[in-house]
Amino acid sequence: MGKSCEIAAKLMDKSDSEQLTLKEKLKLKVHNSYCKGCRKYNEFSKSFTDLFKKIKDNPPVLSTSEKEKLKDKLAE
Amino acid sequence: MEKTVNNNIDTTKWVDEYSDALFSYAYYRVNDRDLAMDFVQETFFSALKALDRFEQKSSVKTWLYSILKRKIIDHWRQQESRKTKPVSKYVTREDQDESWIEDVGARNSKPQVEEKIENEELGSALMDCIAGLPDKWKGIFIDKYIDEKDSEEICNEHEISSSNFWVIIHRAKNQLKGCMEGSWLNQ
Repeated sequence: MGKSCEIAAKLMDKSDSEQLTLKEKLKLKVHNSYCKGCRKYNEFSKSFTDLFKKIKDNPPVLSTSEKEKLKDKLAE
Repeated sequence: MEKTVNNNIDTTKWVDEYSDALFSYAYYRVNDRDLAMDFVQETFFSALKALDRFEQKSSVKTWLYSILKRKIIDHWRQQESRKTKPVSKYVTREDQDESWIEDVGARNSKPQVEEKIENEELGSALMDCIAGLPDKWKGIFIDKYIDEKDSEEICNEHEISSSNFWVIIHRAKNQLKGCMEGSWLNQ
C-alpha cells in the first residue's frame, strides 16, 4: 500500500465527521479516480457513517418502569 | 431521594432530566443494559454524596457526565487488569509505525455490506462489534462517531497525537468491518 493510499484513507476517515478543505477534496478525488481499493474503502466508510447516524437517531433509553425503579433506589 | 437544595439544585428531577442521556452514554460504551443502568445509578449516588462540593462551574449535566465517564474508565481499567493477555493498549507500537494502512481496500470487496446496511439488525450487530474493540479504541471511536466530538477535543481528552488518533480510527473501522462481515453477514 502506497503513501498516497495512506493519505487518502486518512482523508476519508476525516471526512466522516469533518469538512475537508477544497485541496483535500481534490486530492482525494484524484486519488480515488485511479485507486479501486480506496474507492471501495470510501463506499464502506460512507455506509458506516450512515449507519451511525441511524443508531444515533434511536438512542437507547430507560423505560418508565426502569426510571421509577431508579427513583425508588435513590430515595432509599 | 430528598429534595436537596444546595446552590438551588433540585436533585429530585435528575432521573427525569438526565437519566436517558446518561444511560445512552453508558450503554454505547459498555454494551450491556443492566450494567449501563448500574452506572447511571452509581453516578447519581456519587453526585448526591459530592453535591456540597459541586461549585457549579459547569452545568449539572456536564458534572454528571464527568462522574459517569470516570466510572466507565475505572471499569475498563479493571477489566484490562483482569486480562492475562491484554488485547488492547492505548497506543501500541503498531499504531505508531507507518504500516497501518497496508490493507485499506483489500478486504473491502464484498458488496454485501452496502446491500445489507439498511437492515435494522445491523445496528445491534455493530454495537456488538464495537463492544469487542479494545477499550481505549472504543472510547475514542464512540467519542467520534456517536458523540461527534471534534478530533482535536478527542486527542486532548485522551492525550494522544493527531496522527495516533487517525491510526486508531482507521484500525477500529477495519476491525469493525471484519467483525461484521465475520459474525453477522455470514449468518
